[in-house]
Amino acid sequence: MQTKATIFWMILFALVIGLSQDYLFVEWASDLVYLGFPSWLGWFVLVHILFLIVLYFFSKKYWRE
Amino acid sequence: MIYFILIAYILIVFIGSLRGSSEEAATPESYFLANRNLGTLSLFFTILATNFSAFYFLGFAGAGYRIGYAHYVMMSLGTAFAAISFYLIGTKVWSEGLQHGFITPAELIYHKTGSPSLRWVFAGIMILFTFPYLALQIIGAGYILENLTGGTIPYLLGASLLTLFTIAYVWIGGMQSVAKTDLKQGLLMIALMFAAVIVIANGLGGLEEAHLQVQQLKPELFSRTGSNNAFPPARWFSLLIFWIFCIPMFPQIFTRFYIAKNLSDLKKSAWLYAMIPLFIAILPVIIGVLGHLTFPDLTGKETDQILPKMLSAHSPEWFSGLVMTGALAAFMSTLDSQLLALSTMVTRDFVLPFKKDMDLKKQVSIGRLWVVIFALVGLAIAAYPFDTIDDMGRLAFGGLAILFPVTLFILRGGGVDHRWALASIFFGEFILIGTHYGWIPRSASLGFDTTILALAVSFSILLICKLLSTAQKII
Repeated sequence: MQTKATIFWMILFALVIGLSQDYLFVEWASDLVYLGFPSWLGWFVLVHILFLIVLYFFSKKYWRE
Repeated sequence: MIYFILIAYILIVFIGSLRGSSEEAATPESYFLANRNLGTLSLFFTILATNFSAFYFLGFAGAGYRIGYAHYVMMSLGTAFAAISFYLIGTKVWSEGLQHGFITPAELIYHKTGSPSLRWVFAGIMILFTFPYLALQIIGAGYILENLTGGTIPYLLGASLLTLFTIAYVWIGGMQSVAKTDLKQGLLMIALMFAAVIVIANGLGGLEEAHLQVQQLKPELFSRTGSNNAFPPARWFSLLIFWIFCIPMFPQIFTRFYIAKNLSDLKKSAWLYAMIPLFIAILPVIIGVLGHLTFPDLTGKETDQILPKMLSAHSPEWFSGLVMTGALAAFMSTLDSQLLALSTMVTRDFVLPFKKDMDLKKQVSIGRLWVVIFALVGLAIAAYPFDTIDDMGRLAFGGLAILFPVTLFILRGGGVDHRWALASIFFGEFILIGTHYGWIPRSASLGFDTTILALAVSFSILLICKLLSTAQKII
């Protein structure tokens, strides 16, 4: 049971880190969006937020002494 | 006005440290670890304040100027990923520290392996590779004070003044005062950086307008891989995962894992630590990017001064004085933690094993003496700074990250023979230093950051050790 949970969380974190390797699946246009920031910045903000959500549930469900 | 702000700030911090010292500070537990009693907010801010330093204020702004917005993502997301290490390393460090009363990182390593040589190598490398990062704070102070006073206080005098002031309040208060000042300085730093971006952007006609102008001048600053293709795929991957290995190995962070009041505080601090860079890492990078509009031709060390230069150019004197005082606060909060961590390590790992009957007050006294010695060594290094703050930081960070594989195997891998652990550290450091100084071609890392190559070798040595010991058991 513990091993399954460990693998589950490892996969989840690996997926989030995988999403940060955007060059594997997308090529960004060079347009500027809100306040003149580059559009690709939004993708990484979303990945960051996703990481925070995963970390939150990880600390609640799995993180023990 | 600027001198008034500086003096007022110094008095506020100093009085805070005196209050810290009035509480019990005569034992190593209280002087070095604030009695292992920090709640979520104090713990979070004291970790944050040690991390966001001259490397953050001046280094991020300089890198924003040279590389552009890709640098923000690399630092923000990379730092967030390091929260995974709060679980991998932090939890075990906290529980073992509480159980056995450890104060330094190497005490834990010694307890787990029984090897004095591994203890000394581990502590020695932590001390050695913390020096460049420690010196960065002093260098940053020199730059800031020189800019702030229009050259009236020259670089080296400014660096010396900050060093002496930091020695004074660490001497008096130890970790109690460090944690208290970290909380205040952390809040001050965040508020002032937000205000600085607003003031500078307004001075340039608003953020959107300024961005459009910079994009016409330097479109590569807005590109996904950064200026001059700074982050091609393999390097991007390396730098994003690098912080997972590096950050917990900073002695001032490792020691922070000991001082959590309980596990819940450590978990909440980890989450906050992952969250905050999303908002604050971008602030100095914005100032660096916008810097091209006012100072278009800076190179090398000059780029690390873009933040104070932009503040002086686009904000009233009192405001730039206030923000740069906040920056000085950040440098001091990192410097004080480093000095305290290093002095603790020398006292406990190198002096105490040979003078076992030393009483607790004597340990604190020796620790204070080492605070002075290390601060002066940092000042000597700061007299001859590297090309850029980023360069100097990265060598220091890489050297510390090499300790991660051994620490992980000891804490979560069922232990490791000390000879293999020593081999893992020596080969890792050799590759790191060899690639830095060109003895080993950089192409050996196949496009990945050279630290990743060094880490891969360190991990491989430990894995071979594990496989061999498992095979021996089976036979």
